[in-house]
Amino acid sequence: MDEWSSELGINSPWMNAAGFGGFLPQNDVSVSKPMGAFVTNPISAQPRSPARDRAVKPYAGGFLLHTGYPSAGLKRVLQEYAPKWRRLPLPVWVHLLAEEGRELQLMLRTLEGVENVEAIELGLPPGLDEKEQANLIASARGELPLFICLSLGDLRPTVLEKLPGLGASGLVISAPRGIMMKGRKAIHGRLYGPALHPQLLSALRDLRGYSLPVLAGCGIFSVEQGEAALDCGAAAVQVDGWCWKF
Amino acid sequence: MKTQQVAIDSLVQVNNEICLHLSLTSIPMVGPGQYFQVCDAEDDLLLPGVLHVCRVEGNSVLLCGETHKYWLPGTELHLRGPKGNGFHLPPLAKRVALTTLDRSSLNPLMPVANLALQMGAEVTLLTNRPLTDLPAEIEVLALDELETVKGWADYLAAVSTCENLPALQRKMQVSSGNKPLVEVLIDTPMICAESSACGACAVQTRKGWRLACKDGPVFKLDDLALEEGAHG
Repeated sequence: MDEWSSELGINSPWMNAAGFGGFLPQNDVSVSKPMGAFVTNPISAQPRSPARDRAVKPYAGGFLLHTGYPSAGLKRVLQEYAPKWRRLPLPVWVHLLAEEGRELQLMLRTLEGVENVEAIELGLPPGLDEKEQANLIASARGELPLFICLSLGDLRPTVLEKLPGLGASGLVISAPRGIMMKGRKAIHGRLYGPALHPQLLSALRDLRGYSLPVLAGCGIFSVEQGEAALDCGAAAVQVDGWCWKF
Repeated sequence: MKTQQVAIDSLVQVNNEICLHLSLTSIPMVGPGQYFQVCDAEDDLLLPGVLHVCRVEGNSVLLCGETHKYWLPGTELHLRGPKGNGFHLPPLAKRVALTTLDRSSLNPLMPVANLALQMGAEVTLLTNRPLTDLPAEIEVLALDELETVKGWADYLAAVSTCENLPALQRKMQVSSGNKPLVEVLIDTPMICAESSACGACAVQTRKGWRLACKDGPVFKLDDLALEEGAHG
């Protein structure tokens, strides 16, 4: 275990990526490594319906997935799962989706009182400019460690250099967005798969020496790929589509 | 949920679709319309696929659905299931209709057809496709006749994508009087099979959003709603 793992409060550098583990850890995932933390599905303040144009489109080396991150809303999620999270043997990291700061602050205050929630991951909505991103991140400052998810391919130095000052505890390199065509219709979504692995390693190498721990949150589809990411400087790895193999 | 590791015995073409013939150590009780999740042991596939039962004979089973061109006799598969909620053929149904709107595979409906025939019901398939592997007892009508089902069937079992549901709902609308019970197997990717509630297979019902992998994949047509609440 390297210096970062103890700073992250985890006993193993392996965890699931948001959206791939549900709201409780599964017993039968294919990942043979012990999990250091459990990351919840993305949770919004209010109930959030699925995307109209949800899609799963495989391509060589990966797949595009678009679901819209449906969520029952924080209140209902906590009613159902907070008592179960309390009894888990590993810490829970709650992944939040928020459009604006006030809503985010209310969610954070609620979560600070939930036992065994040890960290917050923040997914940034698409289309925000750098100032809006900074405002949203700054409003997430609270008692819990805050990990900011930035897409592979969207790791702009101007954003990265601001994160420590905005109160972030770490950076998660999450799956990039992409487009595939269905006939003449463009399907938007996140890209997953081992084809991202070389780009992930390249990004990790570029981020060596960065002042915050960096988590590899995409492109991991084997133990070897996870270990390579750790060798390239990742403080931890998050497994996405590989979780669903059995 | 128990996972079985099993090798493909043979590939069989049924109703213009390549199906997998497997010998299982134990055949679980599988209702028509329930599904199995499948992964290949060699990690060639990134995502689990979905297979439906086409036919059960002794301890062998014929599965249809998301098969892959590099799956050959001898290929090892991991199979998990049966999962989900299937069709509920009314025990007293005398006239049973089947359709896929010619947009999906017919084979997931074959267990419904076989069960209905065993019950002594008349079975009619609405299709314009040439099909060569149907039991002789199944009558075939042109798909254009689908609206007439309202007048004579007790039960309609359908397979449809979410995109084609409004068309099916329009055809099955009645202003008054009795209408058949219509159940639809939603033809949609079910990749996480409820393990993470990813939402890829979300279906809007009159009671809110449901997941085909968990709450379906078979739903009553009357319970399904148009997707007015979806975003993006």
